[in-house]
Amino acid sequence: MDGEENQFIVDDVSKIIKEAIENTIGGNAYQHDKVNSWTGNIVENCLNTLTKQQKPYKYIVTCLIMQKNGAGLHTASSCFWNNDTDGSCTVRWENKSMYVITSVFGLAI
Amino acid sequence: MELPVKTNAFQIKPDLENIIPPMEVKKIICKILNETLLNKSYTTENAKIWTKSIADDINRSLNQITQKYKHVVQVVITQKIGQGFKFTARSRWDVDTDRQITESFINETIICIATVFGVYLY
Repeated sequence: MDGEENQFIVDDVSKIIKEAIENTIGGNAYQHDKVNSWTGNIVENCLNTLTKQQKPYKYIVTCLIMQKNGAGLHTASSCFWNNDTDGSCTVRWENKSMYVITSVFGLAI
Repeated sequence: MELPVKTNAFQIKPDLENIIPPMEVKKIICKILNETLLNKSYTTENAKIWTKSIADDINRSLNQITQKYKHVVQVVITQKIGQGFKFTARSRWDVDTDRQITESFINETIICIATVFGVYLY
């Protein structure tokens, strides 16, 4: 792997995710009929921005929105890959009515 | 005229039979989810342990049936008390070789979603 610009930089990705979430949801409260398009939008925005960086990576983006009503939520991921080149980044975002958890996995080609 | 025989051909993509088999992966996920969660009820401590053990178990089983694949396993467990819940995944990859397989498990108190992403290592 050559140079800094061709690596998976967690801080950058985390910024991209936060931006995508804030642009999509902003100050909205949980609305059942909007959730579908929100998750779609967040994932799409992240992928678009990542793709524009033109790094030799394949990307996997997942997004989860859960309404806040006191329910517990646990998530774990287990990966089999090259630790030197591949990376993941997860962002937890919340407002008064929902949790949003977005993960990006970058796998070097 | 005879076609030249390619002796030093370099294979970029896997043979059809070496592509990650979605149905077998589905069976593995189903089996592990059932073994871990059947007849269990949700507690915070257990859910923490289950997510990790399910993800690791699936990953280990995948190693036995795939070759030259990197894989990512993501497991979500949530308590089932009537909340709205939406999980979306999308990827930018090679559709010929890479696969996504999802299975879910639901009982009275638990919702569990396990997703496997298989990415071919060129």
